[in-house]
Amino acid sequence: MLRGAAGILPLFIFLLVALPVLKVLAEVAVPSLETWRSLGPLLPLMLRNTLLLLLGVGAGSFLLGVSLAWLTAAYRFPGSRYFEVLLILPLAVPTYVLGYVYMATFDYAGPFSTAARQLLGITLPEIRSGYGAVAVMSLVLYPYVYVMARAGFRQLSRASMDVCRVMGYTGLETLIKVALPLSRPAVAAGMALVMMEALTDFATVRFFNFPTLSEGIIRVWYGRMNLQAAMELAGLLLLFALAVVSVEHRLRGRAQYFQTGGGMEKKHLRGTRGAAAAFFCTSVLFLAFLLPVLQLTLWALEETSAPSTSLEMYLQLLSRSLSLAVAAALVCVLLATVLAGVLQLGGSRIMRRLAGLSTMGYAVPGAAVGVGALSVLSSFDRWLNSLLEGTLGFTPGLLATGTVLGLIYAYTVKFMTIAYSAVDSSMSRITPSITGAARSLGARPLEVVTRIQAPMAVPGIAAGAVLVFVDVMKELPITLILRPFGYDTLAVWVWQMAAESMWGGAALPALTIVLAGVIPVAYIIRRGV
Amino acid sequence: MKPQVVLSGVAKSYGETPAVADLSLEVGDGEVFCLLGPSGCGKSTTLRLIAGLEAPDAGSIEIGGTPVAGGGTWLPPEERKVGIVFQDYALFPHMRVRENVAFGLRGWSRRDARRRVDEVLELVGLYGMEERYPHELSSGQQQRVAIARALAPEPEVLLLDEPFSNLDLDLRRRIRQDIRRILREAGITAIFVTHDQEEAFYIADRLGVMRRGRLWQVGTPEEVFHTPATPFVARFVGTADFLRGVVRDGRVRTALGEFEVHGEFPEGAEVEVMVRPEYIEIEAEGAAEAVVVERTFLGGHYLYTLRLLSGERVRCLQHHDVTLEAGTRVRLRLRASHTPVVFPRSTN
Amino acid sequence: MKEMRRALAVLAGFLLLVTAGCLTVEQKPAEEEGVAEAREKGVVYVYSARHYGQMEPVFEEFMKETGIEVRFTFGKDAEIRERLKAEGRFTPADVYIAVDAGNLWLAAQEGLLQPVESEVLERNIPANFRDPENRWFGLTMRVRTLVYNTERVSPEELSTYEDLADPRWKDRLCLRPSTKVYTQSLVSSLIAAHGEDKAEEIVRGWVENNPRFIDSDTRIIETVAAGGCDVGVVMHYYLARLLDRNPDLPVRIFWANQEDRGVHVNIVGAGVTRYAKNRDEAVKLIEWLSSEKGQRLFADGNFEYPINPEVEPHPLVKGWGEFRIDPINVAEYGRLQAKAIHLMERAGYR
Repeated sequence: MLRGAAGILPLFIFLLVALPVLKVLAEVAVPSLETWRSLGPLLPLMLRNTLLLLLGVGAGSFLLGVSLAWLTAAYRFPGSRYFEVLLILPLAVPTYVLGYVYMATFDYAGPFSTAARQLLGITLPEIRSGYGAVAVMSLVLYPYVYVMARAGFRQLSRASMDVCRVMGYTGLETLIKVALPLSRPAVAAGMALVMMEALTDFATVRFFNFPTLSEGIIRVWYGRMNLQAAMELAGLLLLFALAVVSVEHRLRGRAQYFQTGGGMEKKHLRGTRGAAAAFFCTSVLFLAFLLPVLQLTLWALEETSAPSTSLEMYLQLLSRSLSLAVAAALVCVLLATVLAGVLQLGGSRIMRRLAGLSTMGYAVPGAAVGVGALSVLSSFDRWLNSLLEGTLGFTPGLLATGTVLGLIYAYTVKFMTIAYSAVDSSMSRITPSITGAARSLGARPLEVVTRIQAPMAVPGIAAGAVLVFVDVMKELPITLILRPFGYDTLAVWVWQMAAESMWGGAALPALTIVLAGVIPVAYIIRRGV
Repeated sequence: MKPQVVLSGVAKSYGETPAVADLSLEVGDGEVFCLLGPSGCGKSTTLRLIAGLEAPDAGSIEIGGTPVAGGGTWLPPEERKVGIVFQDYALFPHMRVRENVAFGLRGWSRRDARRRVDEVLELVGLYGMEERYPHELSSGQQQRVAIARALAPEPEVLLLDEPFSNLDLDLRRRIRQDIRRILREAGITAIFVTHDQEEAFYIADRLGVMRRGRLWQVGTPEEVFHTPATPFVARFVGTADFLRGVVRDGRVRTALGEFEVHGEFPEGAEVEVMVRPEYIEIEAEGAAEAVVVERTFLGGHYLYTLRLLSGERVRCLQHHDVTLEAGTRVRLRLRASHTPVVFPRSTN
Repeated sequence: MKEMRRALAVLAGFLLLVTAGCLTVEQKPAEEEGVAEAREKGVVYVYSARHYGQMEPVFEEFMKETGIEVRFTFGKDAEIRERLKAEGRFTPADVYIAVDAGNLWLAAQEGLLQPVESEVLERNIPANFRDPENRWFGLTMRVRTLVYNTERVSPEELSTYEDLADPRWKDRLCLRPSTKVYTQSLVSSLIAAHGEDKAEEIVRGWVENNPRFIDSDTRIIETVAAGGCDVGVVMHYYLARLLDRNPDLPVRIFWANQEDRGVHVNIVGAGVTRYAKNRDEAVKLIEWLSSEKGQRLFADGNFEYPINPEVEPHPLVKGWGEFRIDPINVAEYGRLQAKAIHLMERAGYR
């Protein structure tokens, strides 16, 4: 059915996207004990911390996400209609941005701790710790669980809830005995996303002195330029990611609980109980979104008098971030469209399997993608240079590792998934009979893609592009590892400035990133919470 | 028979739309009562009001002599000793049959709960299926699990919401028998809701016909069928035709002949007379002349549509050995045992 | 249909933006062209690890005086070295400015720098602040020493870095994590002074005192001021910056180890890259930076101490008085860096 170029495309895209991941995996297969030994006592510490972080952030987001989802799904209380939507907002705040704001406001010299000491005589617990990292990440990652759990709760049939009421189950018992088990697949998917984000983060844990594997990769690469050690660590990190994915698969199980839906009847919480619910939601929203946004705005305004980041600098950072994000979004949707299109036309089972594998990048933590891509690209550079020197007597320099091309490539590896799932969902509306009709009218496979499928898939493509765009805007580890020399972006700038305690200099770029992050949140809200 | 469930003047509306209006009802202890009505008539809401899943806007409800709602009292669902079976059964797919049935047995000792689960599963005929998951059962079995679950905590009243609508016709007939047996064996007061009069007749000791949130008639199936309180009830329960008539000297004259009138009608009042196909005979001596318009085969019977001289149409049920072609002239008469029900002539 | 049109509009917007993005990326080759073309006019290309915002005024002044244009790119030290290695003989960079002697030593070690014979530099820069083989030269001094909260500590209680391992400092210290090269160089100086075993004992003593690890000198000083700890170890100029803004800050500086080898000093330094195309201009830039005028601009902007003994420090830091400096050649910090990192890992220093 598929001939020529069209048939090879999925294989090609697969190789392109999978190569860095495979290269990192190969490091696990052949571990270099010497490198591990060179990491000394740091390695067990990083392994321990990574595990603790996963468990801590998992538990924290689970508690916050599920309790908030249940509260807004099963009860009515003052402001509940607004909380339903607003509680997704913290998703717009990258972990490292909240980490930096908390480091500045909640550490010993920060205004909150100072106020607590002076007004209440309380010393707040040390924010620069594993607890701090877990708290900060849970606060901005819980929306993944929240959104998924709400979707799950909405599937519950009203009758199931009524049975619980007739049997005298309280709200909490109903949640634990019925609602949560029935929503398990959705909640598990949300938890997996949370844990992947927790594995990817290196900046927050570095701020809080809690070195994890991701932090270790940046430490040995960025600090010592030791690619070998970074690759070894990336391999270990990948094992963690695989563990998360497989646990999620297991939790999801084969049971497809189909419920008719119809929603729950919301119970009215009055008086103190209603006030307590509203207070809880407000607190979470304040801590995870309002506080950082207000604090960043305040800093940004203070900065206008004596800027440590000039306007020109800011504009340069902005234009770099924007163009990287746009370029990556375009490449991702282009590849995703071709991939989905070719498969629509009828691909073999193997090809579908390959397509599935091509989109696994999202589960791979950023730092692992970064060093994996770097390793692939530097081999490519060496090969290209020696090839051209031998044949043309000229060397092009570091085409891949020295320019934004390498960066865009790594973004593609990581974010293809997002584009693919968005594109694929809208392309699945293009039935085989439509493509069949086009083929019978004489259109070649590629023509079917460009003239029939692509135009029909535009809404999905646009959505995919926006999601990739925003993810690239806030991406940090890959950018740090692969950016061309001296090529700072908004995210990199925020990290560097925050690391130097130049809170003000990081404020405007951080606000910009948060603002971009609100876009997909608005998208989720429009599609219904 | 002492009343087990008493509703007095109960009203409930959602926003502007009244779902139940001024509804009063008594259901006796051990009685199987059916609320019959078209969809949207408020029968499910009535059930939910009794269960305590909704609170009435006005009126009061008593269960077992205890006020449960209205007049400042409110008993939450779990304290009302009611069990409820939902249309879609609402079984928990992540729990085995045993866990589903034991769901309401909180506070029971482990042994007692186990015994009770066995007991009700035995009662519904699902003994031995304890370890299955709901999706491994047929829909009839699923329904019996739902009933077992509702019966397990020994409620005084069992509420069933459209219990048969998810079953196919054949299964429905068989299950109905089962349910009737289970309800009688359990000796429980049961109130169920349906839109299918055949079902209601089959199971219910008494039934109430609802429409637009009101209860129009309560009685045994026979009472409701033969002496409907309103033309709506007459039409909804069985097939009915209406003939114009005029009251003269305590009798009513129609195109089908003259009958005695029960009830207070002034001389010369214009009325409507309800006749059911079961009431009419084709008979050479009949009082009225008619022409066969249409014949419909119903298996054991033929349903004939006939045009009277007045131009009015009536339907008539005949045994399958009476075969008449369209256009045949016949004479009709009302079976002697039936006194037709007379309503004042409605304007619509 | 409406949605489709909106989606198309979004796509069109993307295309516009990406065109703009490509234009910014394209600037790079243009810059490199400039290098060749401006050779007659005089150009020097700098890779600088010293912070953004501190270098521009210095380069501008240099250009005004000599007519030589300075082009520059900022990056972290490790990054710059990696870049120089990768670019090899095609590097556009003529000068590498680093913020720690360890980094300069590593660059020299990896053959990224070339020796420069310059009487001016030999005269202006003391021997222990330049490479024995003249591949790099210190330009300013940064003193990593103790700061204390004046309300909780009297200066008599303070003496040396080694003393901070004493149990009486339990829960009273603020230190920078081991990922920072400043910390690595400080520990290297301990290894140089005491040998590895003794140094590890000292570092273990610090760790046992349960210090607060804060990855920012500014924040360490602020935490000391807030009473979160009593003593911190920081670069002197961070305190100068904060005191410049707020003289009432209850934190003062203490010159460590004045009774023995002297306080730990590190440098900002520069070297000419091995494949520099504008070698003369590069040397001229470094020479100018070591001159009175260059030192003034280069050091004062950040309250650093001039390397040239003839040049007076900024009044604010001059007011802190004279102090004895550890006479070790700063190149040792580079040589011992890897040892220092492993030592800290062994000792549990975060």
